Amino acid sequence: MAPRDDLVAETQSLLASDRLTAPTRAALRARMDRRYGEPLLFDEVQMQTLAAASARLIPAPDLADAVDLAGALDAALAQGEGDGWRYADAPSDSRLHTLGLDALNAAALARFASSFRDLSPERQDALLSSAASGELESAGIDAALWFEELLCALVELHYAHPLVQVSIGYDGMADAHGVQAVGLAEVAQDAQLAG
Amino acid sequence: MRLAQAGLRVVALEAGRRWSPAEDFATDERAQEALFWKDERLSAGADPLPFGKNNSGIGVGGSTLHWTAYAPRARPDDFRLFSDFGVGRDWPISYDDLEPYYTEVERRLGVSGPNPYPWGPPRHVGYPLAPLPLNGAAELMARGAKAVGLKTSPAPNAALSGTYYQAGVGYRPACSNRGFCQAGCSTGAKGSVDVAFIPLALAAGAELREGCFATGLERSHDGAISAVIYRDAGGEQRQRCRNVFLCAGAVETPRLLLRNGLANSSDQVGRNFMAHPGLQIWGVFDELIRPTRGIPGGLISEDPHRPSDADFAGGYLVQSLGVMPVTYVGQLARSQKLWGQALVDHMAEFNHVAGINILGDCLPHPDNRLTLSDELDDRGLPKPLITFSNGENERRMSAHADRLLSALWTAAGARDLKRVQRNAHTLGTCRMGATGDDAVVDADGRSFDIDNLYICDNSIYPSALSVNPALTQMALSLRTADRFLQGRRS
Repeated sequence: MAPRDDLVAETQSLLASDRLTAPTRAALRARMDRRYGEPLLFDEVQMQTLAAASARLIPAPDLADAVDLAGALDAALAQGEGDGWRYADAPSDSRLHTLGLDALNAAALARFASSFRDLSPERQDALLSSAASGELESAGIDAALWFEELLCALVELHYAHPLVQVSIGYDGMADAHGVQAVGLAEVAQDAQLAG
Repeated sequence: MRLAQAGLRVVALEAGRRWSPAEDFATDERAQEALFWKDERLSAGADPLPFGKNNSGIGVGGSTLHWTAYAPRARPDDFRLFSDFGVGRDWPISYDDLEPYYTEVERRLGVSGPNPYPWGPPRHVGYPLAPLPLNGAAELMARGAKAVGLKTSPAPNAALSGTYYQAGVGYRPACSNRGFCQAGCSTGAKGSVDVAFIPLALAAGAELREGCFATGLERSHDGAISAVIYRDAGGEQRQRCRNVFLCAGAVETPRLLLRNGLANSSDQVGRNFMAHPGLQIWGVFDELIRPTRGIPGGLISEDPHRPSDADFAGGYLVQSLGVMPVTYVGQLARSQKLWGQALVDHMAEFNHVAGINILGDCLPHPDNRLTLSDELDDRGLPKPLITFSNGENERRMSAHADRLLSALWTAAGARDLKRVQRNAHTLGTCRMGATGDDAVVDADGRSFDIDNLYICDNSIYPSALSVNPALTQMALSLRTADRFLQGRRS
């Protein structure tokens, strides 16, 4: 599903405006325009599982195509964009996610004789819950650790996207107009004046 | 700065690069991740610590680049925890030893804060600037604190509430309330080390080399350090030296020493890793807050510094919290495992979110430690393994704080409370002490084993103190430099 036209227009207008400094505009523009091609790390089934899991972890049907969390995570992992640490008990980030997605799909096949992607949302949620609690059968990894790392990676990618930020009314990126109002009364008054 | 100003030839080796904040720093969390130390660290123990984000920095200015700018002083009794409680460690120096340096650092950074400050001993010199304006979280904390009987005050923060001038640094502008301190200050309003100290060091003749990762320390036949071995873009380099100040922080400093088998006759290198209990309570309010606005920690209370009903040693302070969206949602995911519609619905109210947190003392424990793992990083060096578990004292303190903060935030009007259990800062691993039997360096930061090796970072903390560490670390650094210079003269 495509994002709402008015959200896209509002975001594009913000990115084109003089409300952003040049480095901020460059960072957000690059993310807004980023498209992911063929997966670099995950195979086709893993990508399908990841996209389906993302849609349940962060249900935002009108934003999912534009943000493309599966593509974004695949690209980040393939480029070795680590976050500076990992649980000593877990394998490398790439291996953790690969094994985790395999385990999730294998559990779908074992329990429901269907790939994870084709399950009902309720069954997908049930499997994700069992991953979150560490009950998902997962060879070689702790499913709960994987779930935590997956969720953290996805929410950070999602809420960094300009469309998502604008959709929740966040305007902290508008950094070019000097001193900002901070107090409750001042922030409320600003909002009132802006309509 | 101090050493160069005394006429010494100083070469500073920095693993990261130098930034031009106005051109380089975006008001965007992901773009600013270049300020974090991204070499992989392995975390173990009952409470494995996240690194990367905000627990370690890289670049000229170090971790102060993404410092929140909290600048409270430690209290005199923080330095004598063992004497007062029979647990933890006393520092080999006292508050009075650091007091003149606190004053100096506050002036150099341009700390904004209230005069008089309501807690701690009376100050000879007040904060150089008036407090920063209170943001939504600070106003709400004031409201809730009043209801539960907690005294509050505008917090001391190392960001400017007015234009500030210092010789050798020039004019720095007042904070624009952007609230991205943890993602790098783009205006120079925050008193990070690159802004407040480095220009003075360079003016005094210090040389600063960026992109230099130290790998070894070469010793002469008498055991003294004769050169630093480091890698830069051109390969392996060697810098001869008379003295070395190791300032790589509580992970890379012990890692370098352990790898090279140096300064560890006490078997204390890597031990007693500490991280402050930093419980956060978040809530959603009816009021429009816009949580990035303003200095994140606008309001403070030191009332629970030594709570009368405590069942633990030491204590904590309470701060109001603003937050950036990606940081916020990442913490909720990690700590609360919030997902699905509940997550999306909560984040739709991001503009109405505000938080409070504590910063509490952490007792040293020898099994909380850094060791070298068997895994090699991209440089071919063993990755550090940090094992950390909160002890009974930290758990009791956090439980006490949870009761106080939850009541306070509810009284302030918060709903949908979210609890983030976390530990913050990297402290210890090369503690200072009175003798080399159980400490790595003496009160002047000098190695007990190697006469011309000094450690000048938060690895030397013998106990964690119940305040954010940066101000104390800077004060300690100036003192270490002065003690070194005094030693040369005598």
